[in-house]
Order: sequence, then structure tokens, then C-alpha cells
Amino acid sequence: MPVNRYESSGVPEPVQHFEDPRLADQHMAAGWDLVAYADGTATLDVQRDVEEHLDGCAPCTQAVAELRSLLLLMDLAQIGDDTVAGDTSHG
Amino acid sequence: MPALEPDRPDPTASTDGGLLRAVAAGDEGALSALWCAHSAIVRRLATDAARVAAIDPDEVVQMTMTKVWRAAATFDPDQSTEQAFIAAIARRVVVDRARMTIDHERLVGEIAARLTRLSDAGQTALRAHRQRVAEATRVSCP
Repeated sequence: MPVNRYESSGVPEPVQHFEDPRLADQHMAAGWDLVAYADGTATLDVQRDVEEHLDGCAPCTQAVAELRSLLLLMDLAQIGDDTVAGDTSHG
Repeated sequence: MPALEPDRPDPTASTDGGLLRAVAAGDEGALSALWCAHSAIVRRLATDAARVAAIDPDEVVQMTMTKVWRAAATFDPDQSTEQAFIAAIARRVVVDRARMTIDHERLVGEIAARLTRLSDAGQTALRAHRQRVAEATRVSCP
């Protein structure tokens, strides 16, 4: 029986978009890297393919939005670290 | 009128980037259409950053729109799509505006919460990315 790690934390369980794991694989079958796309580092061909796919795929559209937000927050965390190190290490 | 004109560019290829080129040429209607198509991405990023830094999301959205308008002439359709171009500008503006007022404790909590709430598709994408990076950076010495 699978463990529901959301139950104990009080966070609502996300909607199960991919009940069948093979469906998840199909979305990645073309070799797209949605993280690279969300990060802005994907090639033009991949960008076009992904955007064409996103037009008709709500789960992947949501995934890209989530990843874009996550990458932005990680950018901010990185900058924060640099600022702190720069401000304190050479005083 | 013929249904197919051989000399005409592929309409699916010419659609993307057309709005940015029109904006660069001074078409105000194109700026409006461009903004309606992509502003949700910008607003979301601005709102995300406003949760962890003292910034005004409306101001960030407005600044991004101005930057997109100014940078439209530099858009290269051989390098990126319209959406990716605008998302990249939005990210730079948001980071630039937020950098001085980041609440680090809140930021760490926000990242953890986002990772926990990641949808199945998001988790699958992240897993696939990590696997891809691991495979690409795997080296073996004799």
C-alpha cells in the first residue's frame, strides 16, 4: 500500500494526473526536458515542441508553471547566498 | 485564390515571433495581443517573488512589459520562442527587483513547500531532468 506523504503534513494531496505511469512516460517520450524548458535553456526546436504540446496538455502546462516558479525561487536563494558571502567575508 | 501558395512561409512557423516583430515596428495592437497571450506567466512570477521579498507585483509586471516593448527589436526567432523570450525577461526583472529585500527564512520555506506540492507531472519532469543530468555527467576513469 503506497504511503501518502501528504496526509500527515496536512497538505492536500495533488490531483493524480498520471494514474498510469506509462502515460507519464509518454509525455517524456520525445526526450523533452521540461526543467530545461522552464529554465530557458532548451533549444529552439524543443521550445517549439514543448509549447505545441502544452497547448493541449493541462498537466504539463501546470508542471512548467510550477517548475518556472521553483527555478525563480532557487535563483533568489542563490543571489541571497552571494550577497551574504560578499557582505561579510571581506569586511 | 489558391488554397496553398508555395512561396508563402509556413504559417505555423511564422506565427510565433510575429507579434514581437510587429511590436518592434510600433504596432500598439500587437503589444496588446502579445501581453494578453503571455502576461499570466509574468504575473505568476511576480506574485511568487512577492511572497518572499518586499516587491509590488503590479510594478514588476509593468516594468516587464516596458522591457519587453524595448527589447522587442532584439528578439531573434532563430534563438527562442516568444513565450520563452518574455519569460526570460520577466525572470530577470523579478530577480533584479527582489534581490535586495529577500526574506531568506520565508524563501527556504516557500521552496520546500513548492517541492512538496509539486504535481505528478512536475515530479516526473524533475525526476527525468535529474536522471538526464546524472547520465550526462557520469564519467569513468580507467
